[in-house]
Amino acid sequence: MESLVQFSWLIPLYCAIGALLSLPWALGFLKTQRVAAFIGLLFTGAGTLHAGLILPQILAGAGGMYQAPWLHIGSLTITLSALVNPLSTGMLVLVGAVSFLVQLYSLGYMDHEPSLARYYGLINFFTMAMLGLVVSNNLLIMYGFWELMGLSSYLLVGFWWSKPAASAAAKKAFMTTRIGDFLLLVGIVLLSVTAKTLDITELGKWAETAQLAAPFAALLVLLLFGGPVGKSAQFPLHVWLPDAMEGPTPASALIHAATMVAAGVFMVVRLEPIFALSPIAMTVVASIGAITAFGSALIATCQNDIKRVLAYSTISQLGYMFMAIGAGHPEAAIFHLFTHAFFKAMLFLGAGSVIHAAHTQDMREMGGLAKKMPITTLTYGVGVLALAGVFPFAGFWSKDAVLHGIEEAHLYPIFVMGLLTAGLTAFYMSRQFIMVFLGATSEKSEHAHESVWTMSLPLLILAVPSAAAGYLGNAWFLKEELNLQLAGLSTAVVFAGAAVAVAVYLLKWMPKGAVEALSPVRTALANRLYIDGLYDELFVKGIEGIATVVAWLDRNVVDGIVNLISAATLLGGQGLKYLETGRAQFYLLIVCASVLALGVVVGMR
Amino acid sequence: MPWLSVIFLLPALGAFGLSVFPGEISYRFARMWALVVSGLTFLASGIMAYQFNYADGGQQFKETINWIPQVGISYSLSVDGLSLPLVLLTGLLVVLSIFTSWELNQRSRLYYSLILLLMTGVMGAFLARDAIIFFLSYELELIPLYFLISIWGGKRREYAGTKFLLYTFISGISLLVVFLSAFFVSGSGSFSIDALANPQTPYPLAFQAIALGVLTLGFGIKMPLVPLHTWLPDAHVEAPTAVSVLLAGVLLKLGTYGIVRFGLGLFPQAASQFAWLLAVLAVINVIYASLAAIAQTDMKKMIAYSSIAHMGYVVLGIASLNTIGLNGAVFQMVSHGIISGLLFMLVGIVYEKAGTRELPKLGGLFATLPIVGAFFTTAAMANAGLPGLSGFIAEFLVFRGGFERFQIPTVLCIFGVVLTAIYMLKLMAKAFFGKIPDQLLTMPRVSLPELAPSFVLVLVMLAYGLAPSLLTGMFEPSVATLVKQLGTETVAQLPR
Repeated sequence: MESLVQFSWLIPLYCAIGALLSLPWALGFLKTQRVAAFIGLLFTGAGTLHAGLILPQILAGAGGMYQAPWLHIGSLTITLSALVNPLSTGMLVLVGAVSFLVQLYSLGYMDHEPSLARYYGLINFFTMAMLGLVVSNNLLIMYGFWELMGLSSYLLVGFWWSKPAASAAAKKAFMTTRIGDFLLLVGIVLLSVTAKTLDITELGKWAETAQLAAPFAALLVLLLFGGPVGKSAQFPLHVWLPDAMEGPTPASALIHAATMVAAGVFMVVRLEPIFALSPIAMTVVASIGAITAFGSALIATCQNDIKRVLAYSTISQLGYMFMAIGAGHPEAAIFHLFTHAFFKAMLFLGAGSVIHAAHTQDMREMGGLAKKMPITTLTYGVGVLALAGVFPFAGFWSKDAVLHGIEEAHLYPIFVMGLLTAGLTAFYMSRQFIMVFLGATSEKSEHAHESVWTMSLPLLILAVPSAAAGYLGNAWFLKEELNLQLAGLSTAVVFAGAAVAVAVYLLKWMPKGAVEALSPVRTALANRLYIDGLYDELFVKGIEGIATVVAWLDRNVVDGIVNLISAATLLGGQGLKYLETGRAQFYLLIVCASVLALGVVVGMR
Repeated sequence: MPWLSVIFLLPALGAFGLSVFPGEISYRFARMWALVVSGLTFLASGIMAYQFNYADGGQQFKETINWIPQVGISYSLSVDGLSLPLVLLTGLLVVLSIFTSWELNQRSRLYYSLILLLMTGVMGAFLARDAIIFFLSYELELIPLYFLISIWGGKRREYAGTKFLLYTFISGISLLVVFLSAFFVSGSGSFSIDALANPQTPYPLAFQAIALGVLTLGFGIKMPLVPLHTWLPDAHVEAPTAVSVLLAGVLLKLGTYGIVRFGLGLFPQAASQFAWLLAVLAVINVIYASLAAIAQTDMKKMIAYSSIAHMGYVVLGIASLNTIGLNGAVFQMVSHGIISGLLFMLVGIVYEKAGTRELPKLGGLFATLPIVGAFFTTAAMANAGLPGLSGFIAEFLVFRGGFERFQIPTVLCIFGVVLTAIYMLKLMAKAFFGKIPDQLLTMPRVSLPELAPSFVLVLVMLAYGLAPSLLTGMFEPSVATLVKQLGTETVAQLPR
């Protein structure tokens, strides 16, 4: 057991091997694709088991820092260092377990996929990157894994590369996050110059005594925050995540719901001492979280694609986590990160089960699936309750921890937005549950049936923490007294939201005036508040336009002048008989003239 | 064993032997000949690298023979940490480029002779310790390249070849002017770089400034610096794949290497005074060429502009004049050689198989070229600075060093990583993603010799990306020596 702890920094490598071994199948040298799937399962399982076995000892105080030299140039030293502590080990277990369950589920969901090996290779590659990120204790190395996650996300969103929508979504995902990563990279360079280290532990020590001017501190923190804004799909860089749903649903569950998108939260928590240098920037973090949480919850209410509702919901819940961080309660953010990972992964897998059975993603074409798919319905129901934050399900505890933290920080406008978001969440999740599982069966849901055990087993397993992780997390780690006043208030809001959904969608209890009055709002929300279209017009077409102008200038003006000069020289050359006298003399002439000129300049000095 | 002379002269001897070889020879024989000669040269540089003292930041393996003592010209070669990685890169890329023209069978004897002659020219320029030897090698490399483009090139090969010749010609003259005037002004009576770059007797500042300006014009054409760059996209588009690989992979490095060796070496005071100008030029290169790349529809032209943009990072690293930035510049020279070489190889394969490089006519190539697609994805990501591949650490060092001296230009250069992602993803989306056009559904298979060189470069890219100290260990002491001579080390401090 001792050696298991000692080699805990190796855990990311399990999945790296899994990814490497999938290559012969992924590149088409070997044929039986399913073998690669089992290899992936095996290595992810082994890594997760390793992490799970050491968790009790790490919680009891074992672990520590593992270092190896990597690059040393002048005053710059980059060390490969892994920090194995309760937080990182908890993340290892969480990411590994979700990845394992997703891979198990994919055996069923991706059954007929001809490129199964590529899929498993990419999932393992992603898992390696995320596990590497959570143990990294050097910001540059962490950024490295951060980017590798981005690459795997790009390749998984574009997994079905021949579909134009998947290709476009992959590009959008990579580009949008890259803008955030550009800011993050500038921040890292700035931090490296300022703090003279990129070791996260040393950065923490530096931050304790650093004396930075307020504007400079705010600039530094906001640059660093740019990366998480992109990766965790926060406003204004949130646009890529809903489109990323073009990827395979289990991949969405793992990457775009449970783990990668939460890496932004994780990174900010790791850099918390630096973020604390700028109270202004912390308020910005909380505000961005609040705007994102509220805005995307609003948009989620008017989406009809089952996965897009969940995608906007993910954006919204990540917003909660940033609200907590901005309010100075990273522990609440991490608590919500964990509970959210369980229930959101389960919801996505449940959605996948539904899509697999009903062959559609449009909720308007579903309905009445409860009778056909009991396990999916039951687990989805648990997920809805957990996400909506109903006592005693997981989301209740973590969401209340977040709201409580914001209240303690006296950020009242943000608190109100958080509370309203809770109501909206209950509304859109109830709406979704009603549209998909209740009511009359439709043409498509008529022939649906429950999924195979490889798909339903992960759902059942994930239902356990989705129900219980909140209570246990609070009892074991946070150890907070339940604030009855707050709990009552939030529960009331949640039930109000759910009641409206039941009234409108189940009892069809819609006053005509209200429908008409809300119709422009609904159109705007269904069109994502026109933000995506605006970006397309402004940035995508803007850059294309500038690029076209530059290319035109290059061809016609810069190169045009060159051709003009050469034409003139040739014409002049005819007269002067340059070309006839040969190259050597031309050389000599220029050489002599130049030396003369230089000699004159030097002599005049 | 005089290893440097072997590396310098063996390819030329090989070229000579191949061209006078009696009787008809098959293209396979010519190819094998070139492979053996360049392979032996590469091996010689490997042995030299093995015997190299990596703790020493000075010149090593020095060979000097008085050649024309009347005017102070000597046959003088040496190698240090700055030239060693470039010599190795040249050896590797020449060998690999022969694989990329595996099936070339028209006038193959001349073709391979020219490739070998080119190798001698480039090796000579990197190894020269005498300004005239450098100049002659620099000019020597130009002639085979001109013929390679104008004989085996595409439709507009004569235009491109002539343009290349004229430009590089101006470049050569500028260098000669600088060398001659430095020779006279220094009064040392020798063209040896040691004599020309004597820190005890600095040149007058006005002379330094003008000479550095002329030198930047000369080497700026080669790098190329915007707006002296328009010969390069034309040359690339017309050149056969192997020539593009060598052009982007090693020949452009002669420009940046020259600026470091001669610009910083001979004129350190002017360099430190006008470094800001270099930083500005770097920004223009990165932003302008990246934007131009976005609008290209010919894959090869897009990569050509990308290559120009990424040379801008080398220039920024040089302009920083500090340890981290200069290490980054040398790292980026090697990394750029590998990445752009790889990209040109892969574009060559796509062109060969699909018959077009026009992005609007391509699509869905993952279906027919899966392994090429996987390599292309890796290369595209490396070009976009993905960690784990060599480009990232090179760029990070450049940015980190550049930021200490020039904050705003560096941030603008960092924005280049966004622009690079735009065109690389555009290329991926248009060529490899999406639905494959019907006429591309059947295409010839990719053979192993065609794929092997790309595979080697992917491995090198990974190795230097995962373990960058493998590469920095080669040149770090020499960069330290250089920075010490320059006296321009910056101390990291709070930017105001």
